[in-house]
Amino acid sequence: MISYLRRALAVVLLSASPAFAGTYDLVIDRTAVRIDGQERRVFSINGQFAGPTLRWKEGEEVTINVTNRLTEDTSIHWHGILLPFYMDGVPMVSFAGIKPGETFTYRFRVRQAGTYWYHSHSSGQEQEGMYAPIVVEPTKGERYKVDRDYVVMLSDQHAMSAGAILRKLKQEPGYFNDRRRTLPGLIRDLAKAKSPEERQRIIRDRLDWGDMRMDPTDLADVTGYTFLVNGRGPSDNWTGLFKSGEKIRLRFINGSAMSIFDARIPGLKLRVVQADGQDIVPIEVDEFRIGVGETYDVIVEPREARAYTIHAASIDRRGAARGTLAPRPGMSGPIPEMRPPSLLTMADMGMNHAAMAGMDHSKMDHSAMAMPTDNADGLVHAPPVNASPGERVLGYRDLRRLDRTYPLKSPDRTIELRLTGNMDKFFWSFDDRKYSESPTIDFVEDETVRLVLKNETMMNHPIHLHGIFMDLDNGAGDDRPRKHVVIVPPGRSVAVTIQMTEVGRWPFHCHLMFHMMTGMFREFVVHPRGAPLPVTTAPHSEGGSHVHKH
Amino acid sequence: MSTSTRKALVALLLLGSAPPALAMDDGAIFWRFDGLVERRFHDLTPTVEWKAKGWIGDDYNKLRLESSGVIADNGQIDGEGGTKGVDSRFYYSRLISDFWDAKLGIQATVFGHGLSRTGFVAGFEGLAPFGFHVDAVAGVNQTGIATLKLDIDYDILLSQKLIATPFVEAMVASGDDRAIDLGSGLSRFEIGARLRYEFAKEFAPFIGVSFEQFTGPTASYVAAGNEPTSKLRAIAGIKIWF
Repeated sequence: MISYLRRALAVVLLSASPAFAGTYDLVIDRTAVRIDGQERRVFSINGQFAGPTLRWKEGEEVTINVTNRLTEDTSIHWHGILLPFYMDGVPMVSFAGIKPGETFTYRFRVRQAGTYWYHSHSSGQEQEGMYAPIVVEPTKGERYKVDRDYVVMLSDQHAMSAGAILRKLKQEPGYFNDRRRTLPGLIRDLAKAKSPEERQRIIRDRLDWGDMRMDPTDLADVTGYTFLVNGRGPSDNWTGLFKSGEKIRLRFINGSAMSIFDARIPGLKLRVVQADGQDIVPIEVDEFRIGVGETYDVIVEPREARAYTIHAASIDRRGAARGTLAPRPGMSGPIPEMRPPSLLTMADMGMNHAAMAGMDHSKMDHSAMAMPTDNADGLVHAPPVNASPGERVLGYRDLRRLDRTYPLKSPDRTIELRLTGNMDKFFWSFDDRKYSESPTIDFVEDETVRLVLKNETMMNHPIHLHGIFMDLDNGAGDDRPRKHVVIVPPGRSVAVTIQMTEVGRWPFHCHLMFHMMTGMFREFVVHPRGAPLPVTTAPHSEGGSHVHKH
Repeated sequence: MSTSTRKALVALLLLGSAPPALAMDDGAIFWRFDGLVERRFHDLTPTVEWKAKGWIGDDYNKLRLESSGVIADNGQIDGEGGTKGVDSRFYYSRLISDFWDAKLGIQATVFGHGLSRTGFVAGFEGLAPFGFHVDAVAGVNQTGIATLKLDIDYDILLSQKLIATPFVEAMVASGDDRAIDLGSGLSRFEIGARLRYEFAKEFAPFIGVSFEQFTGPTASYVAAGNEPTSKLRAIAGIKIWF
C-alpha cells in the first residue's frame, strides 16, 4: 500500500514538474555601447552586448520569455538546437515573429549538450548586436574537466546599418572592395615576372578574370567591419584570466553577419574537442577556420605566466578579432603579423588551364564553368590558409565523431543543390532561384537524403540547416561528424547526409546575412510519415537540379 | 504517431493555411541615381553637358529615367547635329541575363528653335566581358527616322581611387532630318577619356579630353551652320551617385 502510494506520488511529481525546468527572461532593446572608444547603437539583450550566455542542462525543460521593447518586429532563433519547429524562431516560417511590446514564450526540452548560440532572425538585427552564446551541460557532466571555461564569441560590427549596407550592395556590388586589381599592380607583377611564360600566365589570369567580369580580390562582400571578441573591439582587448598550468576550455562561436575567420593563439596548441556542439575525437592544431554560425570548443594549457593573444583574422585579412588570455587583467600579448589573404585562383572558379587549352573564351560564362566532380578532394576541404611550415590547420577531413549513440544511415535518395548568385546585381540563390521564386523542398519524415552542395560562385558559403543535424561526408566513413553549418568553398562541392527525423518547416540557408536576405534561403519541409501534407511545390522540376533515386 | 509529431503536424497545417510565407527577398525595392555634369572647353563652342540616370525597382524589373543635354554658353540648347539636344527618356527594364538589362520606353528630345522629337526607344545596357559598360539603344520618332545610339566606357584602375575611363559614343541614323541637322548613316562619334578621383565612391571630380567628329551628311549640315565639324576639347566636371 505504502509502496503503491509512493509510486503514485512519484508519478504525480514527475508529470507535474520534469526533472528540472528553468525559466529565462530576455528583453530586447536598443542600447548605446562603446567599442574601441567609439559609440555604437546596438540591439541588446537584457541591456547586454553581446547578449547574456544562456546556461542550460541537457534534459532541461526551458521556458524563455522574450519581450520586444523595439519599435520593430524581432525574433530569436536557437542556432543548432533540436526543438519543435514552431519554437525555432524564424518569422514567417516557424511563427509570426514578435511584435513591438509583445512577449513571446518559447518552451522546449533540451535534447543535447554542447556550445551553441542564439540570435535574431529578423531584418539586420543580427549584424547590429543581437546574438549571444548558449552552453548546454551534458547530463553526465562535462567530458573534459577544465579549470576555466570561457566563451569566445567572434562577431563583426559595422558603422553602417544592415539596411544601408544592403542598399549600397544593390546599387554598387563592388562598393566595399577597396583592393581591386589595378593597372600599376599588373605592371608591377609583369616587371617582377622571371620568364616570358610567367608574364604570359599573369596576362592570361587577368584576361580570365576580366572575361568573367569578376575580381579575385573579392573575398568579402562587405568590408569596414570591426571584429569583436565577446562584444569587445581589438583595443578593448577582452581578457580571460588563468594561472599557469591550468586547463582552459574556449568555446569559439562565430556570430558574425558576414565574416569567416582563421583563428589561432600563437604559442599554444589548440586541442579541438567539439565542433558545432558535437564532441569529436580530440585533435591538436595551430589554427582553424570558423565559418559564420559554426562553433569549435578548444582546450588550451598555457604553461607560462604570460599574455597569449587570441587572434581571429577575417579571411580577407582586413582585420582581426583580438582577445587575450593572461594571468592578470590589463596584459597584452604580442599581436601576430597578419598573413596575406589567399586570393581566389582560377582553380577555385572550377577552371584550370590544362583542361581549358583550346577552349573558346568568348563562349564561356561563369554560369557554365566546368565544376570539379564529386571526388574526395572536392567534397572535403582543408582551408587554404597560409600557415607557416610545420603548423597544422584544422580541415573538415580531421573531424571525427565521438558520439556513437546514433546510426549513420545510407541515403534513400540524392539531391543536388547548386549554390548560385548574381554578383553584379547582388542577389544569391539555390539553383538560380531566390527564396521568393522557389520557397520549399519537401521531404518525408525518417527518410535519409544525401545532399550535394555544388558551389558555382566565388564566395565561401557557410550553409546552415535548422533543427536537424547534417552528417558531413568528409571521407571519415563511420566516423563522419554531425554539423549544423558546413562551409562550401568557391567552385567546390560538399556532400552531407541528412536523416529527416524532425517534422516541420526548417530554414536552410547561407549564414552570410546578406546572402540569406537576398534569396539564398529555402524551407526544408519534413512531412509526417503516414500523414503527408500536400507537397507545397516542386521546385526542381524546372530549376535545373537533379533528383536521383537510389 | 507520437505527441510531438502530432503537435508539429497541427502547427504545419495552421501555418500551411496561412498566406504564402513572405520571402525576405520579396518585393525589396532599391534605387540609384547617377549624375555627371561637365564643362566642355572650346574656343568657338564652349558648352555644359549633363547626363543623369536613375532607376528604381527590384532585381529583375526596373523603371529608369534618363536626362541628358548640352547647353551652349549663350544659353541656347546645343543640338550637336541633331544627335543630342535636351533628351528625356523613360524606360521599363528587365534583367535578361546575369549582366544585362533589356529596356523599352519613350523618348522626348528638345532642340533649339522649339523643335522637338518624340518616339519609342528600346535597347540593352549592362556589363560586357572584361568589364565594358555598354548602353545600346535604338529609337524611332515621329519623322519615321530610326536611330541607334551606342555608349561604351571602361574603368581602368590606376589606384583604388584614381580611375581612368576611356569612352566611345556613336550615333547612326536611317535618314536625313534636315530640321535638326541630322544626316543619315554614321552621324557622329566621340572618343575620349575621363580621369576621376573618388574622394568617396559616390563623389568624384574629373578632368578629361574628348575628340568629337561629325560625319556624312550631318557634317555638311553642321558646317553649313558655321559650326566646327570636329572638336578636340578638354573637359572637367563632377560625377556623383547615391
